[in-house]
Amino acid sequence: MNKVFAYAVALFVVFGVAVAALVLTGIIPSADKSGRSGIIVGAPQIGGEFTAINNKGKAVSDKDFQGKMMLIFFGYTFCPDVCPTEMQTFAQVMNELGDDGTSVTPVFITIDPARDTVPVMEEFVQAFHPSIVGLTGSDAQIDQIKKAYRAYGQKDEGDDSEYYLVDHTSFTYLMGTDGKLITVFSYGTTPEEIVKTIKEQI
Amino acid sequence: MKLLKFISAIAVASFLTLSFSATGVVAHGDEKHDGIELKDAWARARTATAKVGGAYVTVHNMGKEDDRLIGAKSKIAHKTEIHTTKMTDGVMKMIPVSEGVAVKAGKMIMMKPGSYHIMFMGLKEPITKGKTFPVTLVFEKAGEIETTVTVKDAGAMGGMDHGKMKKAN
Repeated sequence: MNKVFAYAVALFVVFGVAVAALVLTGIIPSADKSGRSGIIVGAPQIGGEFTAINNKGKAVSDKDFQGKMMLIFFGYTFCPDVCPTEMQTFAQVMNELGDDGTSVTPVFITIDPARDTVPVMEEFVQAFHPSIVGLTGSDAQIDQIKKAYRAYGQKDEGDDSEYYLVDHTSFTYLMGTDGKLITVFSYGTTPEEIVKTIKEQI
Repeated sequence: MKLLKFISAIAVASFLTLSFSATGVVAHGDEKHDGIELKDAWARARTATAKVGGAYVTVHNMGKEDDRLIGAKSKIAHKTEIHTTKMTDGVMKMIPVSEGVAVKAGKMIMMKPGSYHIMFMGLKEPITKGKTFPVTLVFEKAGEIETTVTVKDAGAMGGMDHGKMKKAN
């Protein structure tokens, strides 16, 4: 009787050690802890349907932009630093593309629709390049676009009611003529690089 | 004779006072005060209805003592603050620098897009290209120093019109 018991215990121990070894070497998956940082290049879920109002006051949807590429940046006009910088990059891209510029629509989408009304948007984009389309709309419309593009825009809570700042993601998205994502540029990508990528698509 | 001496004394005193205050007169763009030099103050043009704006100044501490930029003042806006832009995981935050910006002896802080800037909130006048206006920087030790801001293009990247400037990421 004792011997059987002893063998059973031994078997049990060996089994336990074996399982532990398999888990440690990753052959058997343990609880998933993989936290990836927000790399979204090539992710199929960027983009999608939306409706908005452009800087001329016209109601538009994602369908109106298909057939051409889109170069998209999210920001707000009360932003004195980051957004003018990127709009300047957009202007330089359009200037460098020249005739090829007809194949892409540069778009500035506000994450602050409360203050960025149609006339404000029109004034803002015109200061940089006549081809830049500004998109604003209701809170619901902007929330929908933000969700579709995984863009973040959050009003700074501890701020003045009138001059509040808005934290926001600063990626520039290049969408294909079919509305699907081609690539994402991080803030600071040079106009030359953006032009190169666009030309490769033409 | 006594009266003449008295008048001369007053004249000399006035002259000295005037010349001392004259050394505080604004030389366009560059200001030196207790070792702190301000140069190349510039701003980006904003739309006619814009309520906020930003300006950039290069601060050079040419003195022997460390100092700290603790604030800014201007008549062009209701509120003027020093802000910086911080990027974390792709999210841009523009925040007031409440503890100030250290400007150590011999060091230079060059405010520029993407970094420190003077933030004007509640503009009283439009910031249009070509305009100049005064702004005052407040230092812990050196006190208040005024300089003149020149307004450049809406998308200008520098006060010295370098043209295309590449941004390293």
